[in-house]
Amino acid sequence: MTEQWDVAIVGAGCAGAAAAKKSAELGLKTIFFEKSKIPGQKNACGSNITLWAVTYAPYVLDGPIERVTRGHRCWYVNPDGSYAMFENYANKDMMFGIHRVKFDAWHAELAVKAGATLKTATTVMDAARDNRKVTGLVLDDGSKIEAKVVIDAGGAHSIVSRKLGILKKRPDQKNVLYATAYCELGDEKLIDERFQDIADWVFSPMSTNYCLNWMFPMKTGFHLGVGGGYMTPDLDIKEQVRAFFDLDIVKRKTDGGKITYWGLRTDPETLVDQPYADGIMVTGHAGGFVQPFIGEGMGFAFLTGVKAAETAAEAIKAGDTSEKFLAKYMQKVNSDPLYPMSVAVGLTMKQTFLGRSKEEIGKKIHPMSSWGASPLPFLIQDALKDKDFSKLVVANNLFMQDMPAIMDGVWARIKQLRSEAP
Amino acid sequence: MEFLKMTREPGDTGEFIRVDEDKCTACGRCEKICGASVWVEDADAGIFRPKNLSNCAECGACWDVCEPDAVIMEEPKGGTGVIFPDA
Repeated sequence: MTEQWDVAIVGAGCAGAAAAKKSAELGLKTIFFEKSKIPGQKNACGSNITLWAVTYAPYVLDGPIERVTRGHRCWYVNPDGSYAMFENYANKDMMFGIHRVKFDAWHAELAVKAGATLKTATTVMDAARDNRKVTGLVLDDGSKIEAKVVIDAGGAHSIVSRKLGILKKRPDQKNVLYATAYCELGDEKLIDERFQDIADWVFSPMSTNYCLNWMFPMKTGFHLGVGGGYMTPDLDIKEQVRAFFDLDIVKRKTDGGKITYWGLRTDPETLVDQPYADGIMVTGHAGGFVQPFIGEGMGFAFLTGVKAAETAAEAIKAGDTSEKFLAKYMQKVNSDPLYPMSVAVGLTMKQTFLGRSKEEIGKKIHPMSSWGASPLPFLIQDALKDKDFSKLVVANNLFMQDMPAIMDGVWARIKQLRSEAP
Repeated sequence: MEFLKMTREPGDTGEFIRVDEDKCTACGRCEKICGASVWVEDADAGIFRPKNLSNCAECGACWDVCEPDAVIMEEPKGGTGVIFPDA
């Protein structure tokens, strides 16, 4: 006899665990599947939870945080070895550094404590279907799970959404490939010396294809984004990684350390056409809820996982899990105050940079906002050239606002959400 | 540690990436995009093969860039596959 579930979820990463936790809290009979033995074992993540991400899952502040950063350091490095660096220190908690293998396991355990069932070392291979309607999942041993609603949180190339035709190929400028690594220094004091509580963002045309590299401190080591960018035919990721480790500013940090693991991941630029269908909603990376240029992925995974679970509860209560009803999922996501703005930020950055050569970008040595790469001088240039002053409005909104005041507002929201939590 | 060498869980993943030999045009985009050096040219057969599947990071980039849909990408069996360990 096949067990009946209310909600079956593919993946126990950021979206999957967030969906499972919320789903169980709402009283739904919930099961989630993870192909790794331990959630978080397969990831190639920047591994830093942003302040925005916390607003989507305020409980993450109670998780295993390795180091908190309170500022950004942005390095602009040119092929001739010249560079500019801008350091912005907010003196407020901005990003929370984690090890995904610890954090995801903790997060999944919260979902289990809330009442969800977790099955690890189990790969979901397909959605079970009745004509067009998704009715459950098919596992790697051939067995089937029946569920009223399926939530796909299976990652950037989720096999379920690919087989359903929801997740299509995205090459060239539609997708970004990042290579990641972890450098262990084995000494908290060395990290204190080389990083303090500040995250490094590196912009060097030799080691990225219009995106960025990074070095984010953890307790005794640091996460690195070592190469990558838009997946156009000219992307030579192995060469970019070599070039990155050759940069003096990187050598200063890796000196004496050991790379203990490498990773590769893709970040699509756009959502799938429609991240829901009869009986299914697609969340997180699987739905394309990523902004590669600003590095936001975990936050959108939390947001969409939670909203999918809320929608599932409403659909099951209404006895209607059709595509038409599940459209409420995207309405919920889009009504979040920060999500549309962060999408706009990412798009503006992409549009401003992609039309220019790497050499032109490299020549612009200029102070940067705490967002990292800023198209600010280009926005100004374009505004003057086209006499389009709406671009200056964008520039003002994105980069010249009072960051500490904005952060105060976000923190107030986080505190309120945590006080309201079940 | 070797350059871009992945860490794996022991166990048989199954052949989770394969090439459709009839569809492959040997354009080489898979080989170029792959940071893990999985894809290798088989000049005699006029195609590329995922010869070093054991180093695959499961990122899916090869599937994205293969225009003729020659990259067949599935999933490793549960409990096998690449891991990104804590240390």
